[in-house]
Amino acid sequence: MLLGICLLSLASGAMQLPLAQSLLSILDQMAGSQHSQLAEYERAVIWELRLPRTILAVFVGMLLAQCGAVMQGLFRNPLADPGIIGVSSGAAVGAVLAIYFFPTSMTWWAVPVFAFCGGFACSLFIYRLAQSSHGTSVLVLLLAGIAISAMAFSIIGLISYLSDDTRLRDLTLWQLGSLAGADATRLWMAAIVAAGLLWRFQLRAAALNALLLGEAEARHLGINVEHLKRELIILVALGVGLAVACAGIISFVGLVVPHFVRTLNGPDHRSLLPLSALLGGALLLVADVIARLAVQPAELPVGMLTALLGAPFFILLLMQIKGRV
Amino acid sequence: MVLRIESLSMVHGSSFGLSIDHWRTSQGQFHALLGRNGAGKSSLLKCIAGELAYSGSIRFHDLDLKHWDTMVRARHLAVLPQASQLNFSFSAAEVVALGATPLAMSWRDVQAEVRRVMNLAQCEHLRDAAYPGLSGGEKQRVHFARCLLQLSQAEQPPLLLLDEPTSAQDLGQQHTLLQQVRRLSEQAGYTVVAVLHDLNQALRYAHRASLLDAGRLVGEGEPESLLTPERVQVFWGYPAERVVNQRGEAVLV
Repeated sequence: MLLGICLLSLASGAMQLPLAQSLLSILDQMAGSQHSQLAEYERAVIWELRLPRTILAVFVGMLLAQCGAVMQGLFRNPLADPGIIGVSSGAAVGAVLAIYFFPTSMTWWAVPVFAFCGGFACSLFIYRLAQSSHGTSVLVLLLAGIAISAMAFSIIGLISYLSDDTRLRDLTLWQLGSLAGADATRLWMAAIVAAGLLWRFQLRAAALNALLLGEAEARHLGINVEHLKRELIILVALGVGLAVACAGIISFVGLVVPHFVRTLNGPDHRSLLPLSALLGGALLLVADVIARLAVQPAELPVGMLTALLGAPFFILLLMQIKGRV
Repeated sequence: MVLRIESLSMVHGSSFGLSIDHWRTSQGQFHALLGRNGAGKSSLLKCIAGELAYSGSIRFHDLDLKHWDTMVRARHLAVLPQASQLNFSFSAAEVVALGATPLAMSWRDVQAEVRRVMNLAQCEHLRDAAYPGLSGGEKQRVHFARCLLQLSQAEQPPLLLLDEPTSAQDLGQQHTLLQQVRRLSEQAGYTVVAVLHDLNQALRYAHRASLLDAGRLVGEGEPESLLTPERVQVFWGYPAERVVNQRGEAVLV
């Protein structure tokens, strides 16, 4: 399914190009041959715009969905989402600071590193705040999310106010969440981190299952809970930070996807994590295709689209668990 | 003596603490912890379980529990909690299978073991039921099965800690569960320490009992000799009367 959507993504966009020819041109590019009948500029659209964008969408979707699933396990709370509880906002502040202080073209590492730091500080803070002997409180989580997001947006606003025109343009574009800025560096970073997280999380899947019973119970089952929590918080911050650095704030993917997989396949992390990654990649890609096609020849920011679709879903979920909060 | 506590002291907040000089129990004993609410029963259990910080030593099989290797400890010490926080929709069988976390077992073996322990804990019919929808008593039995699985590969006779194991069970279920626990202690050498509220359960199922009050140990012995009507009056403020039923067992009414 993921593959099919990838193909769809390659073939669609403001410029109409036939799918078969597009594929041929990719093969041409890789093999150095000349079979496709696309013009030079058409091939450039495929190779330099659509292909990287498609791949980036898949990896960012994987990152977000995995991190959402792990965060929900870590907080023992199906409503935890990096966007809702404020981790993405923290990462965004880091990224915005980086854009402001370092011109992006010169220091490619600044945005991801700052985004990671911001996301990490936020995760840690929220975790400490929401932690109690009865697990983590939904109420505290959501309130902390509101507070952190408000603070984050005021900082971002302040920086926008201080920025000159070029920086302001960069900031605004980046903030809305877009996959258009796919370049080789981002692609490689996203790919490496997505694959790394997939592997690390899989190693910790059984421990995460035990953690769902509660921290004391997990400890009785031989899990080094403190160590596990620290590792997962760092990894989630890394994943979310990178996703935010690459594509801006894209919320609700980390919430919707794991929830959907749990409904179909149960909450066992050993299958939940890889399935979430796959579905997350597919979902973000679909969202990106829609964002590209909906208002041609212009584009919608994909973050806006996921929020538009995800927010009602979140409200539905809230209504379901209302009695238990 | 398989489980020994020496000069244990624990401070919890400013008002409440636990202070026990000597306490011990031998292998294969079902040992009940009794006392009114706030006497320190659950705190003592949590100290043994390692959930509360304390000073002093708690030794099991002659080794301080703090020095046990985490994984080895997990195979020898299981805790049945009063309530669990789990609110993800695992099936009951999957919850039981979590007991295999510290064990090295193939998936197939785990499935067979899950069936066996669920049978022992009388919850086999719940196998595929979603855990969050179960009643309190059913959840307790599922966790009991999980504890049994966790201890199933112990190299030495293990320790099972129960925190009010029958609080949500009906009369028949209480009987089966405690009967099962007693059988484990007598036949498999499990050492069991259980917080019990029902004194008659202690009289009927436990080998030994300890009486706590205000964080101190105020009595220890066989339940029959420990639970005199006078003590019940002093420590619970309840005018109990002791009668002997038709099976010749002492019952407090």
